[in-house]
Amino acid sequence: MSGGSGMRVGAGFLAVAVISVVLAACGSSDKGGSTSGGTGKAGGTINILGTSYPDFLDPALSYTVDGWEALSQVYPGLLTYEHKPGLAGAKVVPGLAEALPTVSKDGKTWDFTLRKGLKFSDGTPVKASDFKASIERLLKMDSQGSGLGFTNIVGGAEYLKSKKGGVTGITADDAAGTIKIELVKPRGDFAYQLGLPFAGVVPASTPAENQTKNPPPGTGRYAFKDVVVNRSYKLVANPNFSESLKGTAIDAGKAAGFNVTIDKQLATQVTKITNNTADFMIDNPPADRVAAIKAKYGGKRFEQFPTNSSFYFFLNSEVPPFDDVLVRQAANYAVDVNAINRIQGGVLSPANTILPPGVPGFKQAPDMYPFDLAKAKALIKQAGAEGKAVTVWGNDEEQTKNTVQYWADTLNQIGLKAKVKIVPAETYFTTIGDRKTGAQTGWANWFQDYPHPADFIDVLVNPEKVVATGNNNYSYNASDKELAARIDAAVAQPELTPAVIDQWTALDVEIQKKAYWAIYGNRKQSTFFSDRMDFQNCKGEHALWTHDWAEFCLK
Amino acid sequence: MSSQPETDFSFDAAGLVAAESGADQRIEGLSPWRLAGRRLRRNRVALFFLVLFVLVVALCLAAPLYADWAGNTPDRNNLTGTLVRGGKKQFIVTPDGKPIGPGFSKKYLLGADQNGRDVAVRLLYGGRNSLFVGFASAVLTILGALVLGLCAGYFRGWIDRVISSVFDIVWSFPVLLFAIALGTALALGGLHLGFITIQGDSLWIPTIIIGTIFIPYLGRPVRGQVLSLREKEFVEAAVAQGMGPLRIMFSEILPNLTSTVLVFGTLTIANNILTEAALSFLGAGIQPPAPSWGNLISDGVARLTTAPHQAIVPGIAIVLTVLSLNVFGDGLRDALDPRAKVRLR
Repeated sequence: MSGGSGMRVGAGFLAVAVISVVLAACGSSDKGGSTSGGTGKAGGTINILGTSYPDFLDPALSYTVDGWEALSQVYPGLLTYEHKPGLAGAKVVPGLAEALPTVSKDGKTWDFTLRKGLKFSDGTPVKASDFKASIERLLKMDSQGSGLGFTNIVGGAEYLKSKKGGVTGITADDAAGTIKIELVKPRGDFAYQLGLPFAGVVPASTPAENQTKNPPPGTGRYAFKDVVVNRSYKLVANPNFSESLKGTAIDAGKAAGFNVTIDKQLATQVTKITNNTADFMIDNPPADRVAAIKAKYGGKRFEQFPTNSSFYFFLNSEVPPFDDVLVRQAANYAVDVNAINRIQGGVLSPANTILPPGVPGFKQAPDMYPFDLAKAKALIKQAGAEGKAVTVWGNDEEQTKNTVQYWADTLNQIGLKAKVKIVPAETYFTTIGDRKTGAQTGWANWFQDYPHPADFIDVLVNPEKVVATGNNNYSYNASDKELAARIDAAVAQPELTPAVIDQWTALDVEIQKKAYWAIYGNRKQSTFFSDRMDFQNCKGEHALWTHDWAEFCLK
Repeated sequence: MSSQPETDFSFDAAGLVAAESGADQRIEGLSPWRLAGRRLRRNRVALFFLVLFVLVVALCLAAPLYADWAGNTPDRNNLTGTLVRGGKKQFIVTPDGKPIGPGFSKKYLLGADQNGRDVAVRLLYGGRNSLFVGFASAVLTILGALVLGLCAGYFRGWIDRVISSVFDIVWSFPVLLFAIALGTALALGGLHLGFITIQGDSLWIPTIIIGTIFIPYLGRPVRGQVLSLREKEFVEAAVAQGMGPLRIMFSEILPNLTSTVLVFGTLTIANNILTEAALSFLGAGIQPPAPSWGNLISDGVARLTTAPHQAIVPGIAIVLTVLSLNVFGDGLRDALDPRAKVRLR
C-alpha cells in the first residue's frame, strides 16, 4: 500500500503453498486469534497525528497506509489478519466467517459460512448478501483494488466493465448465512485478498460512491465518528460489537478510542509528542530531529524498525525521454542514496533490487548502477536526450517535496531539463496512477502486504497490470509482453520452491536491466510515542499495517 | 480654459511655505509637485526607508552576480558536500539531515537549507521573484482599479452598478482564502484562456491572482474620487467644449488621481509582497524549486529548532522590505497632502 511520506501497500498475491500452510495451521474451525499482544492498560483515548489525510475513509477505495491503519480496525472481511507483531501479523485467520473456507479440489470454489448474530455498528444485522454487495461496490467504483484478484471471481471482470448484472460468481444465501465464491482460475493468494480492507464488509445499501465524508458502519472493534475531511476523525468503540466476534481476531484493541488529527508540519508533531499533547505520529519525524530524538528517547519512547519496503523514482517508459532505456539507465546512475538519506534523516538502507530484504526472491548483488554522474551524462548524450523537458512529480509532504527537488536538480545536472510539480498528498497516487496524466517520473514507494515477491513485481511492474486509472505500475510498460509472460509464469506457480524463488530473483535482475525504476532504498519506520503510551508492551509494529492501532495501549 | 490638476494649493500657500522657511522676500509660486518634493526631502525617515528599499531591490537584482561570486546557484542541491570553515571541514548537510548554519565563508554565508542549497543565493533570487510578483501585481491592481473606477465613477448608471457589484462580490470573499483556492487550482493545471496558456509554475500565476483580487480595494476609492471630480467645473467645461468621455477621463480626471495612485501604489506593493509570501508559504504561490521569501520561510519553519536561520533570514527580508514601503508610503502621503502640512502663524 502507499502511505504518508509514502507508504503504499503491496497487494500482490500468490503461493498456494504458503496459503495452504497458513490455512492448515489455522485449523478448520477456529475462533481466530486472541486479543492483541501487549499487556498494558485497557481504555483511554489515544491521540494520533498524521501528515496527510487518508486518501479515502472508504474500505473499497483506500490504498494507503494512512487509510488502512484506520480501516483495518473498522471493516474486517470474511477473513482477517492477526493483531500480532512481526510475521504473526501476516497470518490469515477467520474474520466474519466462522471458519476458514472450504476450497474445492480444483481451487476454484470457496465456501464460507458467516458467524451467527453479526451486526454492523449501527445495529443492522449483517447478511451474506452484504459481502456480495461490498465486492460489487468495489468493482462498480473502479477501485484501485479491483484488479487485485476480485476480477478473478467469475463475472467480476465483466461487471467491472459493464457495471450491470452483478458478480455472478458470488452466491449469497441470507437465510443459511453462506457465501460461495467461484474463481475463473485457482489463485492461492485469494485468501490474502479477502483479508484486506478492500474486502471489508459494509451494508448492501451503501452507495457506490466515495463515503469518506460519512463512512459506512462496519463490524470491527471500532467505528468512525466525527469525520472532518482533511482535518480529523475519531475511532470509538463499536457500540454494537457482535457477541459472536468476542474472543476472535477481530476482538482486538486495548484503547477506548483514537483521535486522529492532521498536522502538515512534522516538526510540530514531534513537539506535540515530546510535550505529551499527542501520543503517536504516523509518519517518521523530520530528518534533522531524528538524532536528537534517538539520543533522548531511544528505547524508552522511540525506536526504528526495518520494513519490507521499496522507495524509488518511477520512470514512465511510455513517454519520452524515458521511453529510451539508455535514458532510464542514466537516471539510475544518477541516483545517490547518500544524498537522499540526508533528506530522510538516515532512515534509508541503500537498495538496488526491486525486492527488499525479507521478501523471498531477494538476493544481495553488486549495484548494477553505482552512482556515477559522468556516466549518466554520457548516456544522456548517447541517447540524444540533452535538454529534453521532464516534469518530476511529488506530493506536498515535506520529505517527499524535498526529495523530488533533489531529483529534479539531479536530472538537470545530467543534461535533462527538469521541473517539479507538487500535488496534494491526498490525491497524489490517484493522479500519477491515471495513465492520461503521463507522469514522466516522480517519487513512489511500496510497503509489502505480506512477504511474497509477487506483492512487488506482479503488482508494480507487470505490464499486464497497466490500466486506464488506478495504476500501481507507474512505469506504464504495457508493451513489454515478454516481461509480462515471464511474470505471469512465475505468478502461476503454486508453491514458492527454491526454483520458483530463483525465477523471481531472475525477474528482479531483468527489471533492473530494463531500468523501469530508479530504486534507491528500503526504509526504516519509526515508532515515537508520548510518555502516556506503554512503549515496552504495546508498540503495535505490524507486518501489514506498519502500525496496528489495536495493539496500542496506555500505561 | 486650461485644465491643470486641481489641488488645494494657492498662491497664498506658497507664500506661507516661504514664510515658514524664513525667506525674506516673496518667491515665485511653486508647482504642487515641487512643493511635495520639498516636503518629502525634509522627511528624513521616509527618505531613509526609501534608500533601504532601493538597496534591497538592488541587492536582489544583483543576485546573479552574488551567485557567481559565491560559486553557487539557487537550485543546486549539495547534500553530500563539505565546506572548510574556520579551518574545519564541515558537512553542508550532516548525515542526519542538519544543514550548516551561517558563517564567514564565501559559500553558504547565511547557511544552507535541507537540500544543501545556499540560503543567501536563494534569498536574493527569492527576493527577485517576490518583488517581481509584488510589483507586477501592484501594476495590475492599479491599472485595473483605475480603468474600472474611472468607468464606474464617470459613466455611473448601469455601468457603475455592474462594476460595483463585481467589486462587492470579490470583496465579499476572504481575500487570502480566495487567493489560496485560486493559487492551488492554477498551480496544478495552469491557466488556459483561449490562445493564452500560462504554466502552473509560472510567476504570472500568483501575479495575476494577487493583482486581480485586490482591484476592488483600490477601485472603490478611485470610483469615489471620480464621482466627486466629475462634478467639478473643469469637467463641465470639457464637456461643453465637446471632448469625448474617454478624453475627459484620461486627460482631465486621471491627472487628479495621481497622488492617490502614488500613495496607494506603494502600499499596494507592500501588501502584495506580503500576500505573495503568505501564498507561497502555504504552497499556493510560487512553486518549488523556484525560491520566494514565502516558501523559504515555509521550508525553514519545519527546522526552526535545528536550523532557525532558514526561516529567520527571509523573514527579516520581508519585514525590511514591507516596512520600507509602508514608511515611505506614509511619507509620500504626508508630502502630497498639504492640509496636514500647512500651518498658520
